[in-house]
Amino acid sequence: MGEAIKAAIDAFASPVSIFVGSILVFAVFMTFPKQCTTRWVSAVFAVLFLAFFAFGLTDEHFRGIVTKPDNVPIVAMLFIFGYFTWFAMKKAVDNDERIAKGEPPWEKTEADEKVMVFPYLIYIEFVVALFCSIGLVLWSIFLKAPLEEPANPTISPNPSKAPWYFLGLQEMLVYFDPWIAGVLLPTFIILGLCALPYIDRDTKTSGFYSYAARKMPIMFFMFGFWILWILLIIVGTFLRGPNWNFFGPFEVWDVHKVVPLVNINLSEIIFIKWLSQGLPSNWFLREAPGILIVLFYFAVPPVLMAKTVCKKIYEKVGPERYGVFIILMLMMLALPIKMFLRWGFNLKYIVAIPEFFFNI
Amino acid sequence: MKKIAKVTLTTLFVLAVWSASSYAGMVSGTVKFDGAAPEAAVISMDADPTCAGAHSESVLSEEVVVGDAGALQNVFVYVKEGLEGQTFDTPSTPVTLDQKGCQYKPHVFGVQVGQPVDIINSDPTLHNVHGLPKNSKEFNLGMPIPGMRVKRKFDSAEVMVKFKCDVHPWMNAYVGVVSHPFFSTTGSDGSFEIKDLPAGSYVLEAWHEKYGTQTMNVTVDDAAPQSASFTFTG
Amino acid sequence: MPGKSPSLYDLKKTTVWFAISSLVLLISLVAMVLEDSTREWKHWQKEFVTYSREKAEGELQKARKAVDQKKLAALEAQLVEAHMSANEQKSKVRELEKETAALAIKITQTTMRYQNEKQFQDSDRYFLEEHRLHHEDEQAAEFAKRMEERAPVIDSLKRDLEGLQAEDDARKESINEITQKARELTRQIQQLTESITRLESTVKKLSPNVATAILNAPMLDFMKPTLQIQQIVLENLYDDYFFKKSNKVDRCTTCHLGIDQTGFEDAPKPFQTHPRLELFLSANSPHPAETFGCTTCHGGSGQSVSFTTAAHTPQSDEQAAEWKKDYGWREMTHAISKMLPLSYTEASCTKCHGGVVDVPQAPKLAEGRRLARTYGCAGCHKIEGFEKQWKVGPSLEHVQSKLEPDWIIRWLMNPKEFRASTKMPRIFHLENTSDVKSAEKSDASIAGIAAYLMKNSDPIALGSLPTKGNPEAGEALVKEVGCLGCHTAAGVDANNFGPELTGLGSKVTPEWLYAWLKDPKHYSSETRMPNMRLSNEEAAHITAYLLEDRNEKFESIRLPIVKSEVVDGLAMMFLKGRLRYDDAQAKLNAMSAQERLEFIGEKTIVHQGCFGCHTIHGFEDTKPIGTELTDEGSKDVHKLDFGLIHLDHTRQAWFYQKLKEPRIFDRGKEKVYHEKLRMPDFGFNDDQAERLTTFLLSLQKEDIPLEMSKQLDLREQEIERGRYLVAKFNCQGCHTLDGQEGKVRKVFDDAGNAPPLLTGEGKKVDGGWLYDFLEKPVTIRPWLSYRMPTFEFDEESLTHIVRYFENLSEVPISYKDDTPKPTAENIEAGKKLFKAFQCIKCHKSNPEPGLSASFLAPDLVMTKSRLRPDWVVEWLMDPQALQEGTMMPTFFYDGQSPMPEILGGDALRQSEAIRDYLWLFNAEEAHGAAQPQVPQAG
Repeated sequence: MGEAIKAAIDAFASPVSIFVGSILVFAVFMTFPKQCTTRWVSAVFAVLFLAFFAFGLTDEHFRGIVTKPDNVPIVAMLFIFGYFTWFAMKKAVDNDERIAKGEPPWEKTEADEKVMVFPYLIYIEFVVALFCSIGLVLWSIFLKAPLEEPANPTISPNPSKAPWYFLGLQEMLVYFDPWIAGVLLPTFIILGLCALPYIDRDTKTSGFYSYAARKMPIMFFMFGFWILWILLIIVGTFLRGPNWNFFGPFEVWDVHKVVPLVNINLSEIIFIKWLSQGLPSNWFLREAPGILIVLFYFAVPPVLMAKTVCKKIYEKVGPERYGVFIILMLMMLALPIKMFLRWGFNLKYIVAIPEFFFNI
Repeated sequence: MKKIAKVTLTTLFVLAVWSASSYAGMVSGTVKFDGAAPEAAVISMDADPTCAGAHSESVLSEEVVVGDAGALQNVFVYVKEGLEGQTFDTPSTPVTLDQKGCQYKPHVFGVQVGQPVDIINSDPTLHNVHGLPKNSKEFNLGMPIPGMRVKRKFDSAEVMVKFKCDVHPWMNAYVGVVSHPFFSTTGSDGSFEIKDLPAGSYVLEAWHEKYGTQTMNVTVDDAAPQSASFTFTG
Repeated sequence: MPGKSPSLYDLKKTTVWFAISSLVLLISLVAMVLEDSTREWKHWQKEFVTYSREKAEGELQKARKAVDQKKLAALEAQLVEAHMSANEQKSKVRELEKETAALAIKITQTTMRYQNEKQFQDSDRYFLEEHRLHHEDEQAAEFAKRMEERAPVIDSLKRDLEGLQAEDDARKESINEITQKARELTRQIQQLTESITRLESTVKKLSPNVATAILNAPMLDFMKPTLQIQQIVLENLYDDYFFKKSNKVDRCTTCHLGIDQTGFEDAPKPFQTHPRLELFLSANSPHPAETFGCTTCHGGSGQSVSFTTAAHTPQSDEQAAEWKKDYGWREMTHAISKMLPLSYTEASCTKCHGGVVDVPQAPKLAEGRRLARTYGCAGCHKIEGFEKQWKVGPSLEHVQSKLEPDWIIRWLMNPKEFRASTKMPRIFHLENTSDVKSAEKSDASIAGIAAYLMKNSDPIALGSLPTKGNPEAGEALVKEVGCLGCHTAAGVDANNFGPELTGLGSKVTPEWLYAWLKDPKHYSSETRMPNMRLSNEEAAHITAYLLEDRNEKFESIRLPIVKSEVVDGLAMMFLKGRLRYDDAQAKLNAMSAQERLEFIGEKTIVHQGCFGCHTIHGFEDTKPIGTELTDEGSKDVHKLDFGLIHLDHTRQAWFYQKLKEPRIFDRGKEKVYHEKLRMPDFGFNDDQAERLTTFLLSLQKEDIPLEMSKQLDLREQEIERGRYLVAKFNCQGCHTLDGQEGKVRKVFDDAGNAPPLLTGEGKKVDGGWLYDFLEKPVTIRPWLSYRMPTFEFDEESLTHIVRYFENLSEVPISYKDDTPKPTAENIEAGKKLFKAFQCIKCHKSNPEPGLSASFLAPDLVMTKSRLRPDWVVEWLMDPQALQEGTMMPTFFYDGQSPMPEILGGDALRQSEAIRDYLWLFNAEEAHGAAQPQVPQAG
């Protein structure tokens, strides 16, 4: 019975299913936050998650990966981030209700009552510090540092994984050219995070959890954080094995597994498949369709969206800030778009210029 | 009357003591061969004319010598167990081993550890005495001069040490080296006698060069001589 | 007071949590400290202390029992008496002690003054000299005066001091006199109980006490713990960590505490004494622990102090399970530093002991190397150091004159069908080519090889037999002329160096066998079979005998039917490798059926590497087909293809499996015929596979610095060159030599008929004579039926062999002419002694045939040309010392001569005289001596 469940999970698991499934869960959570944060739903969700974990721990392979001292923090991260996201959303929903009723938010109500720093802050902090120390001491006793043998330059480890905070980007390397995934996207992430406070200067909802008034920003940020960062880290840590093949949670990591991947560039699709001609020798001609599409993507949707979906934002922040915002958002959305193009059409590169080592 | 009584009593007393001591601790017996005695092979000494010339009639092998009534000669009988922890004086009188007529005489004999063996060459030809002990050093002594004597001692007990002559391969002798004086070799009548054995129980072993060894338990007391007999079958 | 807010924390609860967290933190900190200080090795060291103490206690009991109680009691009674008598003089002693104390004070005071004055004197001297130098005479004079005045003071102080000391000594003397008896007795008692005292203190030291407990306590054990990690830092041996070499640090002795001490042979592991301490680990052994450590030989991670991380390797699955249970062992995935299982430890010897034929004291490795030489591993696999290895299979250059194609086919199908003891491995119809299609291809390939070899070899002219030959005579000859020195034949298996001589009737023609026996090199110039100098009749007899034995079962093996389409398919497959399909097809069509067969035969020979063992026309320079094995012992385990077979992921497991079943790693794999594994199956049994695995593990890349490896000096090098030739030509098949008994000797009842012992030959025979003899053997011992064969050595080999013998006997190179220059007196004496000792009785020049060997000895006419003069004298003095068990008797028993009147009865002079005479001995003299003598009376 257990084996059948595991086999079913492994068969279902694939990058596509996990990605799409996560987006669905995310959409539901973001659209119906009140319902999702009720006690019952939260409890069911938590129980399902824990049950999956408990069930998984009975499997030797799953256990080996999840209890590896390297991976224990990632598992902890999953639980901790999950809890705090739920907590924040619950608080936000509560505050929204109170604001809708005209009451001040919780934080304001609490802020009016003042208490002494000692003992109400220091004492509690101290006790928490003690618990942190206990945690660290027990961690040091039970989870040993994973020292491996002296590195042999003639043997590369397989899989060769980046540190956890870069696994999201390493996962991106599957779909993007290294220049894009390793340089461009991280730069945009960092610049984007830096720029966020300057784009969204609305202080109306500062200082307390709220959701209804900030749906868009929160959704964009959560999408970028959970789906494009945490999820990819999870996939990179637990579900990517030797040769960066995808393995289900209960699938043994076989280094000999060979999965065929045949991906073609857009220029090849257009010129060879559709037009049945040879590729033009001049790179510009060859990649012209792809370049046009990319330029189109960054030129047209901003204007359209300013007039429709993002009208309010445009009016609120003005053209300059809107411009920065929309470029960042389009860059962010480019990831899932490219991923879907890969999964759906086996598309390798939209623009492929190997002469300059530049591919999109 | 009183005087005669005294003399008689004294004589009787002396007799009793003497008889007791003369029979004290003695084991004797005979070794017999059961069955038809195998025919002894004739030794050809043609290789050395001096040897052949020393015998007027054919020489027989001394491997199995059976006498009258099945008496088996050249059986070495000795005390194998029962004397542990006791030490005995080493006699200084040597035992003689003679090479005469290109044969070793005696063919089988015993000697005590440390007791000298006097080896004589009574033949006018070259002999060599090649001793093959396992517990002592092997030796090979040439005796080219007729009448020359060589003394040899054994430092470790061994039953039996083979002697051979390399010049004349039919010549061999066997000596039993033991650490005590309680041994005897059967003569032509097949009888052996071991004297002056302290009272106690012992294991006696009889060795024959072809038919192997046999053991027997004997208990010796000072009262009467013990007898032990061995029978070898071919 | 703040109002109640739901988000305000309840202080009481917080305090409870505080209490709980403090307690838990305390416990966890204590747990952390304990976890840190509880080390595996401390447990073992404590065990060792306990074990040593128990051992010492046992010895103490024994020592106590061994002491002579009566004597001890007597001494102690005497001691009591002595004390009592000393006590009676107690007051005198006390007085003397008081005086001594007072004297001590005086001495100290005097000494201080004396030293002070001396200091002043030295200082004044300095100033005096300075003033003198600067010509300041006035000051100089003053200092001179002061010195002058002080000198007598110093002298008197010194005398006082001496006097005081003399008095002090006198008093001490007196005290000593009184207590002397007691002290003497105490000393005697101590002597008697010395071992007991020693053992008692040992036991005390090893017993647990408060001091050691504190010193070893957690947190306090940084000061001076008694439980310490023991390590040996090795200066010249390195661990290779990829581009960085660091000195080896071996911490094995932290747990293996008794390993370099005698007395722990029965101790439980890990305290057990190392086997053969005189060879390993002890300070005066060739491999002392401080110089070599442990991991050089055993591998493993020397710096580790835990059982698992030191990479101990279990010998078997049972032991692995045991270790998992007892020690929580798991396999370390370090490929570089895993320990060799104990059964393969000898593989490490070659790291330092290179350049030798057999590593001394390593029998398993030596046997593995011997197997590698015998089965010709270097024929397919390049191994550095084995390049000059001879080809182990017979030459196929002229095979068409020897064999029939049908025989070759049956042979290639399965060599062991013809002869179970053959060394030729099986190449075809093994596990991975046993399916129908592969079998067909194999059969076609075999037929092709047979066809190709027939065509590609040159014919050789074979004569015809002069007579028919009598098999019975042949059998007698085989047993007596020396064939058994290399071959198993006629039911005697003393040797298996050459092929077993069975079934030859099914294999070769009489003409071939006759020609071979008469002159092997005529057929094959590279053969190791020597020429036995058989006469025509002898060769004919032996031929008749050997060809009697037929292997009917082999002859009746059905020849496989080779389908032409299979041949074509194979040919196309080979052609398509180089040409396009159409061109290949065209080429194929241009070949006749026979040509196609020969074509695939040639290609199969290339594919299977037959030329690795056999010399084949046209393949002299072809490179061997196998993997290079030069560094196989250091090869990464990941680079070994374990296929789909479940094996321990270790080198030794892989090698062992590969040697036992070479094709097993193809199991479960989808491969085309020509991509399948090609290594042939030698049919090794478990022991052979283990020994060969040891050999393979010994082929390591690690380079030990020159100063640590065994450098062969010139003598050892020459001996090794000789050993190589001895191994190549199987000298030890007949002769006892270089520590090994001649294998054929056990066949002989009479050792005098066996091939002569060659121990000490170098200092026995003249080098030049030996050279000539080996080149062209002559009869030395005419009663021997075995013949020394003519090996047709080249000049270099002859020189090496002579030097080998000479070096084994440590004969120095000497240009001195040591031909004896005898005096007339010596010659006269020698002649007399020669007659008296009747040497000629055994050393007959022309012995009658049929006499048993124990009668006979070599002809003495050869002495001057053959033997070394010094050796002859040594020999005469005591033959048994030079060759134990020799038939030659000692005439100089105990250094005494039986002829005391010649040359003063001096044994040495008499031996020299005999030697001098022998140097003049010739055939005439021999004839004269052989006449019947009138014996002298002695």
